[in-house]
Amino acid sequence: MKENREFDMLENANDNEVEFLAKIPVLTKKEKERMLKMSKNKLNKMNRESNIEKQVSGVEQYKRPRWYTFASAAASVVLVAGIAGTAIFLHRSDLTPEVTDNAPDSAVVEELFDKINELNLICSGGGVEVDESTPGNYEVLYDETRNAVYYPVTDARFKTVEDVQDYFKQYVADPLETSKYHSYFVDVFSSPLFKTDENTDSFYFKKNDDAEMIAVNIELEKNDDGVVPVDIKLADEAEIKDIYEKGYDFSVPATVGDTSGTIHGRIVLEGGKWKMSEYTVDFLSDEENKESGTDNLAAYSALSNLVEFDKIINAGKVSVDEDDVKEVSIGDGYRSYYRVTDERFKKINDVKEYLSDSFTKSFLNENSYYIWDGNSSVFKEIDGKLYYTLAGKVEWLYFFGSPSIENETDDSFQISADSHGFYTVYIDKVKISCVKEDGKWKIDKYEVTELSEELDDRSEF
Amino acid sequence: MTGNEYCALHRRAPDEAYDALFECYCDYVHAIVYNKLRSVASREDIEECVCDIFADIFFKYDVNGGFDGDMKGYIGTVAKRRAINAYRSLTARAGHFSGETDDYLESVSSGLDIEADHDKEETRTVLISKINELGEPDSTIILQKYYYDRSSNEIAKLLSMKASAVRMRASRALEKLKKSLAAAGITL
Repeated sequence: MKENREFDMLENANDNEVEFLAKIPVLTKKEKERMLKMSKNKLNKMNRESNIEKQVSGVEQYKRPRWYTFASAAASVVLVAGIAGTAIFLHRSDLTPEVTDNAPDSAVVEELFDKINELNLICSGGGVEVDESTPGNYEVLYDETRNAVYYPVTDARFKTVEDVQDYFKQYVADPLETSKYHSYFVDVFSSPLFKTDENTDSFYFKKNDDAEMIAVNIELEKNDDGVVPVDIKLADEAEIKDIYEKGYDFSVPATVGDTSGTIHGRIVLEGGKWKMSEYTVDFLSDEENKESGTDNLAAYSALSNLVEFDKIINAGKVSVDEDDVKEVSIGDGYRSYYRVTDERFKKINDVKEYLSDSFTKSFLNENSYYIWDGNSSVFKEIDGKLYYTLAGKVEWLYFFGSPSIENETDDSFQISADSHGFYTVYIDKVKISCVKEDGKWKIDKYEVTELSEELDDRSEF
Repeated sequence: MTGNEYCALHRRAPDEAYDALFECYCDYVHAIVYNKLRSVASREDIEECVCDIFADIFFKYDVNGGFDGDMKGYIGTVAKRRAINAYRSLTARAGHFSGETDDYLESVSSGLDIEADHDKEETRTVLISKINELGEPDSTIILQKYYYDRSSNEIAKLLSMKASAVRMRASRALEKLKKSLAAAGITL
């Protein structure tokens, strides 16, 4: 059954129209081969039944492909794993199939990843119907003001931010407040995805015309029989007990963006609904990636860590208590700092430890003034508690396409990649230097080697 | 492929005849079945229907009949009939039994329907014309994605493009198409 209804009017076409539609290349060679085989198998069956001794050569016993249709709404299998941007973690799992009667099947997994893609698209500024004829111009309340353009939401699903959060919560197992989606709804000194006009109660969405391009899209791969091969196993009871009703770990081959790999994740039953808890992508499972050895793995990991760093340091994606604010004197004025509620960070040492996993000592020393040491640093400890400023926060980095690896040695390499800068329509070329420190690959330097032609001087920002 | 060509090939090597016929008309049959079943059937149901049609043709076509015309008409008729049967079967299974006869489903039975069908036909003509105006590869991409419901990855593999490029082109082409149709008084 089709999800997209836009072209329903093409149904029941006349002969000429069908001729036109038949010219659109749709079926792959594998699909055609499969159907031809099936046709011949059916012919054999018909011949046997009519006692005719004709056999078509080279055809195996007819077997209907074990495809899975989407579960009905009543089955309530919705999977959403939201790692927005290019956050990629490495995880190997020796999953062995252990399917019980109550285990979700591959249809559950497929539908879940459809929802993941939908949520990722929303988080990238797409997938929500808006009225583009009347953009609302909101002034974002940064210390340095910044305008962001929002459009009135016409999507029947969403009338308020709470509607959107409830929608996400249908698919996200963890509490929204601590999930990776929380920052998209923070509405203090940032530019969240959705806004309500306090005067008119109108509801707005920050639409991004490039959302389709930048949203991380996950497509599950099918085998030659047209089946999505999902390994499902009961999750560790100790991790599920008293939190969720049920939990299953799964493993499935997929293409994430433009790169193939294997996704390992966990599906949990919460409130009677299947939801995704977490998922990770193992790019090593793809043979092409394996040929490059450790480097590709390290490259994707480095890009992922850089995005995470950017989110924390430059994009305001750290959970805070908006009511607990300290005004700190900076130069001639004041800057607001909010108490951090993010579970990762209780003290500045936690921030240092977190970042030192992915960045060299040299990198962190060079940036320490900005991150935790300086007068106007991003993090501050005040009265024994950790505080964080949202001032000057902008959208985080997006990397897209495939990075290239250069100047490889046993202890270092460089990555060249394309990234979105401040404005999503502009593309910068960047170079990231990675070295081995304490036995781990870490980012040592990050530089923009080629700014988009449209914007050479960003000093005003 | 003409009837005589098929029969001659069948006499020499039936397997090759089946392969050739399938290769020649697979896309056509698929288009007929898909057009009828897209709103009620899964992809595997549609594929199964296509296979049933070809099995039917392989089994029933009289290879000694001496028909020299194009087989397309015959194949098209078998395909439409099978697709209609599948439609009735699937909608009945889903509790949407309509009760119409095959003839009704293929044609119109009342004056009001003639007018409605004429309007739909005009709309389809405009839609197809506007899709063609998008130019390639957008017109192909937009039909593959929004009519044939193919994923960006699948389209990318078929067209040797990147999936991200397919998504972007599809999204922009759809926006452009909607605007173009709106100017013609049609809402997608």
